[in-house]
Amino acid sequence: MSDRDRSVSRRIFIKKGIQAAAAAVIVPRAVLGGKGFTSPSDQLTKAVIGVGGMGRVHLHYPGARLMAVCDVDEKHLKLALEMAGPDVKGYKDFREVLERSDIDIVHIATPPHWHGIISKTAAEAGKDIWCEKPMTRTIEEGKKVVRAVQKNGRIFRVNTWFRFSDPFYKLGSTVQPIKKAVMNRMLGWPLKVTVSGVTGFDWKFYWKGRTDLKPQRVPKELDYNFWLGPAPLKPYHPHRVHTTFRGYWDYDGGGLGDMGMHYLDPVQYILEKDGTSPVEIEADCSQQHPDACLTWRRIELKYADGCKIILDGENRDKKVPFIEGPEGKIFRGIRSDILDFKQRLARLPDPAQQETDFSNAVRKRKKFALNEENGHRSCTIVNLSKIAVRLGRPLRFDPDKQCFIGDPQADRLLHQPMRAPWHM
Amino acid sequence: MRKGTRTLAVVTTLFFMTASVYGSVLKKASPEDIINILAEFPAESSADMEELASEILGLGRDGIVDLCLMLESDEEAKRTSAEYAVHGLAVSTARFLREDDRFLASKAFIRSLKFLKDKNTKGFILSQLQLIGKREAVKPVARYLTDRTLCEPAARVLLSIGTERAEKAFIKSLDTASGDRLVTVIKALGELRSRKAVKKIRPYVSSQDSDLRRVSLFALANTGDPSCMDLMGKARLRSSVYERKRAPLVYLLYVSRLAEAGYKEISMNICRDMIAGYTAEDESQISCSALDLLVSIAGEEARGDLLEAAGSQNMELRRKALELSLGLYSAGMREKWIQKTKEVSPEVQAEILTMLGKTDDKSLAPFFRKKLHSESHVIRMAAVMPLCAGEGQKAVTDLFGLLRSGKEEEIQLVKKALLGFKAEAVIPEIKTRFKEMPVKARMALMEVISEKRAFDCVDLVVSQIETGDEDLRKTALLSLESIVDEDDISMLIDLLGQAADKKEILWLQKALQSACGFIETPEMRADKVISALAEAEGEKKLLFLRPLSEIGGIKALDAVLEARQSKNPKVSLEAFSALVQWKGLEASDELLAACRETSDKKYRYLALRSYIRIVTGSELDGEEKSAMMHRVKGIPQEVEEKRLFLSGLGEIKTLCSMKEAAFFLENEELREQAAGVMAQIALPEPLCNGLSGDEVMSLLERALVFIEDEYQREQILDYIKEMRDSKENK
Repeated sequence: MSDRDRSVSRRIFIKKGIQAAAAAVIVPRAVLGGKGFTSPSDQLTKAVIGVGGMGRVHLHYPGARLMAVCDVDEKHLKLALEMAGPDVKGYKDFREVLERSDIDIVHIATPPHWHGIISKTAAEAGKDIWCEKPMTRTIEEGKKVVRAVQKNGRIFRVNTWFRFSDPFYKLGSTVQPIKKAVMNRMLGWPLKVTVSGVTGFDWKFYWKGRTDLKPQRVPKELDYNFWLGPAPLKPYHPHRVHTTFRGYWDYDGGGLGDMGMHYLDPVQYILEKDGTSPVEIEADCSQQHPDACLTWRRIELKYADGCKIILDGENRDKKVPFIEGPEGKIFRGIRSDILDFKQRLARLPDPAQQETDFSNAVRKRKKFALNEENGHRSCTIVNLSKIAVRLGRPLRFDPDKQCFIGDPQADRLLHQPMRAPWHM
Repeated sequence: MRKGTRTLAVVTTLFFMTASVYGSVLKKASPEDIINILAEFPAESSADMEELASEILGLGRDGIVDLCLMLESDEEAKRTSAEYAVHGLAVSTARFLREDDRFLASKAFIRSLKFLKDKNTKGFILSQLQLIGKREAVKPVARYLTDRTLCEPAARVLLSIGTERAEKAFIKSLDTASGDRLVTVIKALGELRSRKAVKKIRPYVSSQDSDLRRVSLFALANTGDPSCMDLMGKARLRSSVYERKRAPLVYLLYVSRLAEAGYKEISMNICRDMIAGYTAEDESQISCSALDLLVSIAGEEARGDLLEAAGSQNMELRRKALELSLGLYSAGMREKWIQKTKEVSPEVQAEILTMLGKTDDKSLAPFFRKKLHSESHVIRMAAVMPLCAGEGQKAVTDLFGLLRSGKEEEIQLVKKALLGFKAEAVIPEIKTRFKEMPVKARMALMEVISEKRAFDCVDLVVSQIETGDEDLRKTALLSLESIVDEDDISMLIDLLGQAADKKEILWLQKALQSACGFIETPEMRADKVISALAEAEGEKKLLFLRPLSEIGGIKALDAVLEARQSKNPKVSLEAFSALVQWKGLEASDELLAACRETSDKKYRYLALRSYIRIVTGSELDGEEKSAMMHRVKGIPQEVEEKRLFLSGLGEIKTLCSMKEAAFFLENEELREQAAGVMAQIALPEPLCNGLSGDEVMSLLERALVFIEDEYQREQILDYIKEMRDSKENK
């Protein structure tokens, strides 16, 4: 049973469940029974850094005992502590959380501009990491996280799961049958994947920034300077923080940043591109604002072997298949133009097994299904798309060196210097 | 020509040449020119942006400066347009082969800093210089390193430029910087790996200010300057818990830079010391990091270290060693690793096997095959996937040996391994060896048969139904659905007729549905089941009603309706259940009748729900669906029924549905849902356009009153505006 199978609904906060879970830790073994019981001394422990909206959902993720929560907003922290119960300690500074030797895993649910620094620092502190998506805000940060996780022998996962679990949004199926069809070359090669409303995906264009922000007073419960962290100092406005941060380039990347990894990581997996990146990227969009993320029309990414991913924000082609190759197509609802598709598919080899239980991965020190390496690559698809949208011109990328070809300005967007004292 | 006159001529010529490059003296932009350009922003496309960039460049340096000054306009719209314009210019001019344009833009931005008043605006200009600034920007931007607010954005510009000049600017500012500015400058020098700054930075390593201390240590570590070795070594004794814990890693960063500078031996020795020294479990990341660094420095020379670490008591270090070994594996190492497996515990052996399984060394196959027969369970398990990866189909026969052991975990692993092969590779072996397998293995093999849809194994699976073993029976019945076809219908009807357990009945019904689906002619699919229904007596009829709802068709529907008239209340009720499960539109009239006739709330709800499901899921067009929904309008009485009705309306994008939903705005309990449904109907979706027209606008405005969600409100308002604009443009 995967973590995802056991987890509760993302939007339900079950205070009693947390308290019950906390209480269960001290109930004697005799009451809980033998097989499957984990004594407190064997139980993994966790802390959640960033307990705003999504962070509070992390409190309930099973597999480890919650020991600490951390947030730079006192209100968020207070609410999280109320939900978590009396045995959990609250912090403002994530570095103090990382000092604790009794915490095995950190969940990172801050806005994306913090993901890279906290992931790297946590790895260096000997923690295993469960990081929200997008994995990092820039490609360079992603490279550094990969390096830090691997160098320090840590187990890392990104908080998206569609490559191994759950129906893939409104596509009408899990990813498994499509992966199976592709790996057995039922559709031929190369392939084209279209991610649009027609094929079952919503690009959430409502995550737009505003261009009319007037400075406002910082609420007393929020340490805005710490919230900004490595991001440039800009006058406070409530639309910049807490949920709507998604609409600003300094912290995220609009709907592309919010949903990109959910949609594109499974696509990368299907196309067998876990170890590489697109080489050509082109966006069709109106001019982007320097601060606020706006909508876009279409983004095309192409790999060296000819495989393509189309991100269609306008749903131009109402009859487009989700994936197509020279020998076949698969549409939403797993309908295919291949005769006896399901029967033929069943007889073919299954994809290789993946480790989908994070607790097991941590205990046995095995790479998780969606780890720092393939997570960085799927996050890179998102970050390349963001850069293409921001610059509004075709780009060429070297997937081995992970830099642009013939475009130094685009290279300046691979990594943006961080505000002191933060650095990676 | 006299010398003075000649000089004047040269100077004048140079002046005009420079002016033509800047384009600033001969052509001054008027405020109107600038306003006109700003009015075009934001650009609709990159082509439009290029045209606008050309126009802006045509204004010359001073014109661009004037445009930048619009960032401080009193009018918000102009300020925003100016932001788009300035940023668009930066993005456009930094393209390859546009150096002149870039230079012009950069110089103009720099000049504008003198005239802009607000520091936030200056910060914005600096952020654009971060995109395009080069050598010409270093000196003017460096001046802002002394400004408390602008030091940070200025530092980002200089870091993006990253040249020796930028480095010098930072070093120079060290003399006068303090507080936050000092932290910014030292951090920047660290990122630039500035050895020239080492002497000046050293004193700050023992500062009382924790931020200053940390960045200073980082900066010195990142330079890899050998003169800092003692300092680095002592640093771990200082200050906070956090810093003490990080100190070894900062030290390793320093060692990595030392190695890059050519101090290979000493760096390797330090790494080996640290691997040996940091053995505590909560220090694993340090020993792992040290091992990683050792390998990156020493390459193949580190193979011995890796072999040793692979036998460590510390699991994390072992795993790290094995991961690194994979990258350095060669045929020459094969025997050493095989020898290593003899020296370690079974658990560690298993880890080594897993690593060896990831190499492409096919000659390891006999080794893995031998391990498949090990006395240790963990070793046997670890050998499975490597053997399959190396041997391919040839491994299948060996795997069956493991199945006979009867251990659950091994059987499940073998099952997964078998699923990784084509059906042709495994099904023949299954058929041959099935009977010799223990119960649990047979169960796993039937699951493989089911997954592979091996139709030729039906008899084999059916033979397991009457063995007397409950687990085998259950697995066999569950497997049938995937492997039966039309030739098995009679057999399934017989089995179903004999079934008593509820779960078994359900499984057999599913199998029967699946089998009937193979009959080519849809009208004939239900025939045998209808016959079985007719022949069944009493409550045996119940068994055949549910499959008919899945199979569908007029004949099946007639049979179910006939059963509804049965005097046996259980049969009648089951027939009703089958009716409300119906998939096809042919049942709509009957469901409508059921809604009207029944006084039981529960049955009415079920019938209504099914009717709405069938209608909204059908191939009818929107108007036809609306008409069908209108037929049930007066039926919902309870709140939950009305909610169902509203939800159904939400699936039909017609003005008629929207009006029907608007009716519920008067109902306090339902108005919020009604408003949401109206929005859902009106707004465009991926597969269909939205509704339009005055009436739609008016209805949406009514709905808006009851919608609280900020984003939904924004979407509705945007759409209303879009409709209005579209109307005005016509």
